[in-house]
Amino acid sequence: MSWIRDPFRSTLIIYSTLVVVAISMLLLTRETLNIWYLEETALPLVEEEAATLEEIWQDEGLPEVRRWIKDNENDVFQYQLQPVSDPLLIKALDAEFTTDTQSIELIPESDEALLDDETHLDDETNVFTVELYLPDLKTERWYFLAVTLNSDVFAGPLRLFNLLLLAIALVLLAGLLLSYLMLRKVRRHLNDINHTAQTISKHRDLSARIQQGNLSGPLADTLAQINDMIAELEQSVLKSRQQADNIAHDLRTPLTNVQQKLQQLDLEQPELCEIEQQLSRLLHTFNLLLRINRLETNGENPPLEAVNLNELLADIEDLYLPVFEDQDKHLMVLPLLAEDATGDQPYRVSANRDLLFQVLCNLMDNASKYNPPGATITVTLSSSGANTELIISDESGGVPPELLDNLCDRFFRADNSRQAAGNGLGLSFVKAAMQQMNGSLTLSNQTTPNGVVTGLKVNLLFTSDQSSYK
Amino acid sequence: MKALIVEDNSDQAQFIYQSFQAEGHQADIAEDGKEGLLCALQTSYDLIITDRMMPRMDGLQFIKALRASGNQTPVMIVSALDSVDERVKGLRSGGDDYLIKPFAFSELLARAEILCRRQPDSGPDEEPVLQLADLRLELLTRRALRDEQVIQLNNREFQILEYFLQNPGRVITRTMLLERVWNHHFDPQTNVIDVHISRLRKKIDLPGYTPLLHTVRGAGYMLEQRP
Repeated sequence: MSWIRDPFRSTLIIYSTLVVVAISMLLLTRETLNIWYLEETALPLVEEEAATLEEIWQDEGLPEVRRWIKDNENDVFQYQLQPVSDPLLIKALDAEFTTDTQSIELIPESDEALLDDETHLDDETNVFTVELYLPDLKTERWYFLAVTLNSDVFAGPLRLFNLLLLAIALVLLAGLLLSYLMLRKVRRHLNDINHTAQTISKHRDLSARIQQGNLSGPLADTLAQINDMIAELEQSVLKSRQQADNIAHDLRTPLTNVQQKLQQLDLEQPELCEIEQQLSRLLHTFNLLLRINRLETNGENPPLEAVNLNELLADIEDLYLPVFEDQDKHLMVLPLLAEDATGDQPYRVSANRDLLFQVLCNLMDNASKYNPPGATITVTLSSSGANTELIISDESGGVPPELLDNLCDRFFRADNSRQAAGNGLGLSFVKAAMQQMNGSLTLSNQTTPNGVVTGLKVNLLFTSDQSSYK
Repeated sequence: MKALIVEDNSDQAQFIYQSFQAEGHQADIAEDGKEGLLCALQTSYDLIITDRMMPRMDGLQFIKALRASGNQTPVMIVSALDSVDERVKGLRSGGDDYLIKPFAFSELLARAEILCRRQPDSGPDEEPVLQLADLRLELLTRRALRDEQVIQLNNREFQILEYFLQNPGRVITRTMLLERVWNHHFDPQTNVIDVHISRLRKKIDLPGYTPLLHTVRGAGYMLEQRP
């Protein structure tokens, strides 16, 4: 029943159901409607004709009726006049007859089958017949008079009536088709909005715009407003990037000059070396901050290529294993074997080799910094469908759950004492770099089955979107 | 060593110039790519150090023009652009090395000396045996020996030692090692390389032997036989 939450599908489904019900009702009740139509139009005519003849019968008698019938025999009415010869019927009619009776039209309840004199409709020919039993007072005989409306007369109007029913059905169907086309058009524009939004969020390409075509009205206004909003965002992003560049240029240059002067003085006064190194670290922090900014605002847009994660992890293991061993910690890197996963070479992801290596080095530095001696740091790869996941889990004891979300904030450190070396930018950099490579970073606590937090779990998710290779 | 500094920022140019002078090297300064090209074509230099972004003719155009004229002087690009792809662009246009600003002069100097050394004949180091004092590295058999005693080295340690033995008496910085041995280009800002060096040192500078692998404070490491 998920379709009910989709206004497009639910409107169409409900509307088409209603149309189908309406049309089948029209088809099913067509016969009844036809009869109703004939009753409303043909019946009064026959009855009036019968009444006229009855009047002539009373006023002027049988010969005049015969003459009238002869004169009026035409395409519209057919007449039948004959004496009643059935003795049973005569007896029944006589019983009904009183001086006031001018004609017998009603059926005696006692003898329904016999005295079938009423207005009735022949189902097959759609013909109305009025049947009357009239007493001829002169000869004292009963006469049977039937007035029938020629079926052909109403064939035309009836066809017209059926045509009207058909027209209603067609209008309903046309309405359904029209609303389907309209919804499809609106939907196409919505899809275009979605597509543009995806382009923007995926490639952070704010130059993308929604196609407006020659649309007008509220939908066009909406599209125009969204486009304006994107344009404004683009402007402000460009502006902030410009500002970041300006800050970089304005502050970096004098700081660099001071650092260079200090380097020259170092040669004569080695005690300045410490200050020079501190300044270098400050400059490094400063550069890293600017770099994160650039990665986030698409200012640094390294080309993506197919990177073999197994090879890259082998490099990382090779580089960091001695670091962990020296600290009495264990590093376990488990490569992804092709037979353990679906797809051709699932360990190949779309990324930038250099940038990804820096990401992994940052995570390894963190692991070596925050894990106690004896801890095991495990790096695993897993793949499902188009996604490949690199998981680094450690035994650092994790972080308080409420702080997990803050870990990627610039300069945030889970240890308030800020004892450990570092600048608090590592995870911000990792996150920005992963996003730039169309991947993502997720941090969670590693827990035992009974809920004890043992360490931090870093998930790097890569989506192998071949089309994003640049 | 005689170097040409192509740099539009005069403070930066002066810093490099004075530092080179202090180290006993010669240097000329050109203020942009056009002037640099003229200098490089008139005078023979051991090394050209060029900025990346300059007015009139920027660093990349300068290198392309230089290479197009047949000049093969080693070029080091010095740039504030620290994106990973900027480095690739720089090297692709004909640069030999890429250094990100701000840099330590020791880093620049160490790289400059290695670049200059590469120049004569630009032949690869295909000598089958590298030797310094009683330390010997046999490239074909991939054996390392100190005083004829075989030293067990893993693959990376072997590569590190090979690099040092190819450049005896020269400073090798941490980032240079990461570039050469791991083929990754960035400054890790941690002690990750030092750990590898200290392991290697334990293996080659055995107790009782003259230490050969020295730490150069504030710069890097050097393999040298010191009296």
